[in-house]
Amino acid sequence: MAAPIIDNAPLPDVVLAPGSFADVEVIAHDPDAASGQGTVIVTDSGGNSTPVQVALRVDDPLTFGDAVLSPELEGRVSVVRIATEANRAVYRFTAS
Amino acid sequence: MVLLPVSDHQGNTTHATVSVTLGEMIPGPVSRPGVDQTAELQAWWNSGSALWFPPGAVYTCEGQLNLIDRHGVWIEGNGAEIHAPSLLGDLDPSGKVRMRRQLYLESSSEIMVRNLAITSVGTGGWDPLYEAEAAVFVKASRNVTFENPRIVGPGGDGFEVSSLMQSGCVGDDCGPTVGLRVLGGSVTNPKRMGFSITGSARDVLVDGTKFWSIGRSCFDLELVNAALNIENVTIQNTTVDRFNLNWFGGGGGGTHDGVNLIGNVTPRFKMKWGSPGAVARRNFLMQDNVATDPRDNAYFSFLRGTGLTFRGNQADASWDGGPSFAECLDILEEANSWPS
Repeated sequence: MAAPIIDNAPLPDVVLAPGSFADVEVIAHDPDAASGQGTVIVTDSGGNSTPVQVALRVDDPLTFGDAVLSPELEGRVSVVRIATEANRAVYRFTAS
Repeated sequence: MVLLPVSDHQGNTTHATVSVTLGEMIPGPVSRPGVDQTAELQAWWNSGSALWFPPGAVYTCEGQLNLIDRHGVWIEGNGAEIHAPSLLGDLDPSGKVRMRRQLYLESSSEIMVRNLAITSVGTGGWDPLYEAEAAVFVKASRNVTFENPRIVGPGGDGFEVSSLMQSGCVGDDCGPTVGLRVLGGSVTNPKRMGFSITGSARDVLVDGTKFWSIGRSCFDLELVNAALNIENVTIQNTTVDRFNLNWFGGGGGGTHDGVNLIGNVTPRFKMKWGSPGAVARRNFLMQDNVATDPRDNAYFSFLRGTGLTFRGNQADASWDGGPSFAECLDILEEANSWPS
């Protein structure tokens, strides 16, 4: 199975002054997700059948994890996720 | 480097990567109460691009601090204050107007000023002698952000945006100011306008700022000649307690295309957009604003505008003469709580 793909890579570089913050948005999708159409047969009490087309989607929801800082940034930068949607998250980087 | 993991429900993981650089800030000088430190602060500002005020410092500055042809400057105010103890700026050549701006930006870009107070001693109403003495003057600059400013008592405007060689004159146009943002903070007791645009400007946002005791108009978009243009100006989520002329003024010359007033609170909708000398007034949106003073709630006068939308505004008390839409085209009024 394929891993998620970051749609807005490369992400912008972040330059932080002490006390400042910057927000970084990550947009991704999962290539295993798929959608298409199927047909459902609907039959009434008189035995009359009608094919009805319905949309089908194979969902593969994404999970945005906690940031992993390189050692030189630990204790000097904090990162929190301030927004999460189905395929999008926003991380706030703050310099201490 | 920072890794941001993104996983699907089967456990497959990709890492987005972000490069993070920590800037080194240059700390400001020690404040010396009562001593004019204009030159000292200016030298510090000229020394680098990441400037860090000592928290709570108060500097006396009788002169003007300049950011001219500066690019990529971060000023972290930390609540520090630049205070002008008088309105005694230099006179212009006419001898009629004093010209000191406390913070003057010209031909600069990518400027951030955060948490800085700029104060002076102006009180009461408009006085033409001091009307050019804005606390902050932004001319022909790009991507300038003021976050949480605290402006008190300038002789002129809290913020004045221009493209001209000299505010108020019909001088050379230096090009528009583009991408100015004022976020949060407050403007108190300016003797003239709270926020004004007198020269060409585009993509301007005032968001969440409080305006107290405004000597003349709170928001004044008054271009001083026919060749100037205002495009895409949004004033939203502001609160105004008192003004002496207009809540919003859009007289003067030139062209306005795209003025948006959204979600603001004001004592009354006293407004003017258009004038006999204007070239064009297009696309005005007034949405979800609230007028709170039940005694004198609205008067507005629109002249020769096109594309006016008024939606969801509340002014459900008395009216004082308005509205007036002289020679206007394409007006939409819906869901307003005001007499039609």
